[in-house]
Amino acid sequence: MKGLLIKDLKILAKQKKFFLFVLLLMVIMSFSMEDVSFSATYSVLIISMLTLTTISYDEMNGGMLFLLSLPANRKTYVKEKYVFAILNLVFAAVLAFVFGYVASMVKQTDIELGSFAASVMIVLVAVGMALALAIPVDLKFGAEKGRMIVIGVLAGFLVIVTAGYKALTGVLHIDVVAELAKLLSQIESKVLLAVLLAGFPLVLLLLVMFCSYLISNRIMAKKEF
Amino acid sequence: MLLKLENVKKNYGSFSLDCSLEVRKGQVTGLVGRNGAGKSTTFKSILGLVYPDSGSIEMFGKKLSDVTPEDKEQLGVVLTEANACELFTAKDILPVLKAMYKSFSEQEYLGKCKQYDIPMEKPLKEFSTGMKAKFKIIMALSHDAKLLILDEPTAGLDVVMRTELLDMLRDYMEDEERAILISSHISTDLEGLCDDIYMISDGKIVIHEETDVLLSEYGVLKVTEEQYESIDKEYIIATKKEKFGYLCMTNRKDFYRENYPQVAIEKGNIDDLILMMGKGGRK
Repeated sequence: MKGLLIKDLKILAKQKKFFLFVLLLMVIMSFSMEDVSFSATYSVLIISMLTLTTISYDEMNGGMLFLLSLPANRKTYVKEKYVFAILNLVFAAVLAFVFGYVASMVKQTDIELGSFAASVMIVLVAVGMALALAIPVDLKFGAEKGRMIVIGVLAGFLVIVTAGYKALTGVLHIDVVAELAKLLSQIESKVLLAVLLAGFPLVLLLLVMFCSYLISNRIMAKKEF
Repeated sequence: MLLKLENVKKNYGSFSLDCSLEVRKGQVTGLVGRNGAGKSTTFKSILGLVYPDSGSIEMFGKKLSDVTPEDKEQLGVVLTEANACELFTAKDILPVLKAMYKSFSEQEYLGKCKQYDIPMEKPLKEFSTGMKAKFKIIMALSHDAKLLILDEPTAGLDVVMRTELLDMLRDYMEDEERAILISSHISTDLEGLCDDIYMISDGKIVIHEETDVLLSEYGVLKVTEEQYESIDKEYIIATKKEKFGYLCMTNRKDFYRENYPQVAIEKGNIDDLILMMGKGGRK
């Protein structure tokens, strides 16, 4: 697995132009916008998606045939992809956090670290969920087709969530956000609240990732090259 | 026995493979056949890249499904279609291979790259066909593999490079614990290298013979229609209609030389076999 990780890191290292572009974008956005958290969280989204880039490089030019002829089997390949995805998510989140912090220092704006961290984390979890969907889809249908399917599914999901939210507030007159806030305000311990707010999405993400990993394993086990 | 395939069957609609073969220690075994005869499917089955419908494959004395990544360190593979990531340079691939194989020899890798003029800093996508082919073999040879599985390793190489490559393989075989399974469409490559040769046609193994026997005892008879009618066909394994009469492949050249001195007999070679044993050629 170490060999495959090195391979993916090497693929990332070849994306220098891409990283420079993202960095430039972050700088421009954070100075043209009041709030630095947007540009920071945006970078999480872009960098995390690089995991999918490595899959498309793996598939190119009979790359999978090459990789699977090495001392790596389908299982090792899948395991490595998820380890890499998680490492990449963590890297993106740390980068975004450091960047946001530095940018706010430079701009001398006040930044509330707690809420900034929360917004980075929300994006992290959302992107992680998207990856948990995209990895098995890419492995099954190939990176090109996979991308279209994932975009389609995510768009569909957003439409459903938005419609559901509107239905709850508009038709049933339930204000979900307010209800949730009310529920949370009943929790007195601040520590417990923080753990709950940060922990629940993370645990959920790990659980979804694990299921996605099992599905990917099955997809790869059946695949012929 | 390093590799053994027994009645390995695989169906792809109109094509079906049914292959049995063995690769023994100290031996170079060749697999020949036309394009689409089933060579690549055989190689892919051996590497677990496709799943046979039935039959069994044993590698290093283990069932293929029990072969672990550690066992696969004993394997050196070159497949025509398989390529390392094109963004990479030979230098980028070094740490990947080093992490993959415990017995990877950096010295050997670098030495061979230098010897065969592989640029270390150039991405693979800028390599010529010949450079790519040589580099694939260097990758397969730098970790002291016990078994080499080489599908068309000489494809795209000129005669000088092919000779170099065959020399590399002969050097590799100096250790008697090793073995090679190789396919090529350039038969002279195989004639000079292989101990035994399997010929595959339409997914079936039609001939398995030691190379020496093949070259010394197989022959092609050129006969007119009348001669064809009169000769004993017991040792004729394939016949092909020609303008002047028939071409007949025999596995007992001497028999016809003694009994039918008037018949023109040519020395057999692998190309003739492929031509005559392939579609439409068999009797």
